[in-house]
Amino acid sequence: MVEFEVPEIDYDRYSNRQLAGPPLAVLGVALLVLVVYYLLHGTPVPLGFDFTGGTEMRLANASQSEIQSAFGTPIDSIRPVQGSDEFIVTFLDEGSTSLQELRTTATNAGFSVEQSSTRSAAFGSTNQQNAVLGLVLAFVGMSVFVFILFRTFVPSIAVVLSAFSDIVIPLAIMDLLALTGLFEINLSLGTVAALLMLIGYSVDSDILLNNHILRRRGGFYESTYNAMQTGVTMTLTSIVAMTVMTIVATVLSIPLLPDIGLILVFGLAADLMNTYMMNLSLLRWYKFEGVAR
Amino acid sequence: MISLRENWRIVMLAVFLLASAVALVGPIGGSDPGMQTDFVELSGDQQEVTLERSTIQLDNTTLETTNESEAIVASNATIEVRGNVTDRTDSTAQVLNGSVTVADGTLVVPENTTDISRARGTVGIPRETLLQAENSEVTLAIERQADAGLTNLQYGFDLAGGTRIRAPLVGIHATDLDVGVNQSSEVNARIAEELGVEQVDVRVRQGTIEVFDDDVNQTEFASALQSAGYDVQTENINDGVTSETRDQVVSILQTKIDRTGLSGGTVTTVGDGLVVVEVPNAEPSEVRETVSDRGVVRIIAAVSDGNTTTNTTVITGDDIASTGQIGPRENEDGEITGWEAPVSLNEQGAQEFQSQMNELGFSSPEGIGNCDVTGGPGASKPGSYCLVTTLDGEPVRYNGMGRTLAEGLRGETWSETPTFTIGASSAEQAQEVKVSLEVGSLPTNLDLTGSEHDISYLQPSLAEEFKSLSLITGLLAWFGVAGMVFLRYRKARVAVPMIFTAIAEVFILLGFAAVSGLALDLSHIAGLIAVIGTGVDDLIIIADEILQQGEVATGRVFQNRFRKAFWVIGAAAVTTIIAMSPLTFLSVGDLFGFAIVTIAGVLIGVLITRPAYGDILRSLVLSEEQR
Repeated sequence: MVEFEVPEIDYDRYSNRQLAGPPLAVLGVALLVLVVYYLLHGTPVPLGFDFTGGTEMRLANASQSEIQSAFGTPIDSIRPVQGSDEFIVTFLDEGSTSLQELRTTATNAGFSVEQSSTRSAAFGSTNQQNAVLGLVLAFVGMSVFVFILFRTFVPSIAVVLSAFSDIVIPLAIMDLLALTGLFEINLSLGTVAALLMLIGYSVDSDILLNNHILRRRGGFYESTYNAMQTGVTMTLTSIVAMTVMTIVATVLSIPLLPDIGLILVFGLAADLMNTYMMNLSLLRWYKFEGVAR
Repeated sequence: MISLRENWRIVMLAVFLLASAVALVGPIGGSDPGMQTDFVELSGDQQEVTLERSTIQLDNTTLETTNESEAIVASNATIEVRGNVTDRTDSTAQVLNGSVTVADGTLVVPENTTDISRARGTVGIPRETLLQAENSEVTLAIERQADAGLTNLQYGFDLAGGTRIRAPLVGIHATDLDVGVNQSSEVNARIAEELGVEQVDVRVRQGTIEVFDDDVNQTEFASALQSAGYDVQTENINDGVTSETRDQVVSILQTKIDRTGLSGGTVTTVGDGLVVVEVPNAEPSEVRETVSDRGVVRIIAAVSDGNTTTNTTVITGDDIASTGQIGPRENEDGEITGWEAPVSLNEQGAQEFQSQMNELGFSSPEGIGNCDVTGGPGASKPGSYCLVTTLDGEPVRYNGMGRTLAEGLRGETWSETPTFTIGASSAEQAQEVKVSLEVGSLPTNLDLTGSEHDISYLQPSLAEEFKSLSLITGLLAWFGVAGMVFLRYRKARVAVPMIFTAIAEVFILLGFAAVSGLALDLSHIAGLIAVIGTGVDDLIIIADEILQQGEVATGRVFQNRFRKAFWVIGAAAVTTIIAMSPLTFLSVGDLFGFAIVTIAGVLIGVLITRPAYGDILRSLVLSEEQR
């Protein structure tokens, strides 16, 4: 049977700068990617149907070329549904009349309309504003709570910074996937939910680490190891749950769940790095140098 | 011996689990699954449909009943026929303990048979009879008590399918106006005139004036109010309708949907004043029609002298006291010339109608039976006197004045028994008129042309698939977590309770969903799977805190460690709740439900399941005397 044990890392061998460097560099690159994507496409991340509006249909009994030739209305995108021979087709046209026309066209072309939606662009932009506002409020609320909890600047900012990075990195990965055309995850309501979940997950392990180091007796490295043993297990368990959800939902072609799962997997993986490199180095600096000042 | 006092947390968990089990599968109140419509096609030979406790609706269908093969047998059921049922030969509709209702069709009662009796549109069939489709393809919409399913869980659009429309209501309003107590109707008329809209499009109530017309913008409304003497600026005009109006629309729309065969549909509102209409098993076009028609029925007297036509509204929905069963209108030869919905007018409406008809000359000799829409030359009598049925401003039927009615009106005796038949061109129209009169017209309709709306359709079979597949996904995710936990702890007495506590959390959460009537969607499923994740995370914190620092010597040490673990768990729980709370008041699509599930999950975890896990672990780790 496979033995699972959290490895004990010899943190002594690395300076704070060496530990904090890579996560900060990754964060920098991630932010850069968001900026580049923004300059290219006008939004920091690829927006899905929930936020842009338009008309979307899930068609069965169809092939890519048949779909391309069947519609007179310009097609925005055709995506195959993973794990099935169906396609999701999106159009920029919106409104109940276009929905009716597009449905009729699809039916006449012999496709079976499994799902269809139309959403006005204004509705999409309201969603967009509210989603951004929700994320900002959640983040600010979390930050305030963390500061109240620890009442000291460095440990608190470590938690907040790590959570920020945990959110930015998956967004940047979304951009990279979209830019390279490998795989498209658009920002949907589901992915926003995932980002919010990520705030909760991310702070979990950070609070645990801070708590062990700052509020417990015992040496720094001993506390760190204890916290890591718990924290890494936690994060890995969550990654396993989300990976399974992503894979199974993709194979079974259930919408929404793969997007949520994938974002959480990226975010949790980023969290491992941020917590045990960036956050840890800040805490070590605070414990050994910051407090002395 | 396990003491209750020490293990009260475990007892509480057991109680909650039991309660959830009852909530999920027990016969609790509010678990009425509603009605469900199935579609069955009858064509060819020997297709038999046997139904129990069902309603069969035949849309636009002529059903011929003979004594041949295809049979509909409904025991303890209602057969509703929209269309014609003619029975020439044999009596063949079998309903045990039920009734046949002909909603907007005719039922030609078979001759020489006592098997089918007809009373006010309801046909009671005491003996075995057969109703069948012959030589035609018939789609039967079979409405029945929805399958209660295995659980009391309700499913939302993602997992039930059908059509969902979300849109705001047409309208703008101004509040805090000083409208005198008895001035309402006066102000109403004034504003309507200023804006050039109909009076039904304006509503004055308790210092609030609303206008329900797409074409009126805020500037126009403000200036209309100003000319009526109110000091209102454009920026004081609010978008949307008042919550009273919205509630009224929701309740009327719900009734309308229930009455028009869009079974199982629900109408609700979400933040920002959007109205959400969800109808399983319906195509978008059907639902769209219902929600965008206001259903304003009016009878207009159109009098023409050959050159000019004068229109006077003589009957509105307010004048109607009750409606009867719709039926065909036949001429002397028994041919169907149109449809009608019989209505009774209330006293005031009847008096007004009577005097108006006499004034306008409808009851005079030249008014009787003299409806010629052109009204011009070629008409048998000079002029034209038509009673026009309008539905949402569109004329649906022109009718002349009947002789009997005219005599009653002239003699001023009609108002004592004020019955009237509203004409329509087709059975559907007659039914629409009837439903509109019964449930009232909508004060305003859903704005499907404007800025913020979405219409979605999901094939019910696909939704059904998502339901079972997401269950599989959740189970597999749980297995994954279980595997991880076993690898890490390798001790069954630590891992097994952990895995089961995590799933208990989800179980209680599902119980909560069943009790609160929360309609589960895919985003909730994701939330539930996430709850397994956070739940196990916190259990790992508890287990590690208690187990890692050597032997747990005494109950007190255990308590101490447990409290420490709880500090972290509590802090993490608060963070998650803070992160989710913006979604509970911001309107971001369907994320409200996700946020509620997550927050409830965290609370259940922190208050019930995770403390219980601590107790379970103590019972397993400490020997009896150490406690």
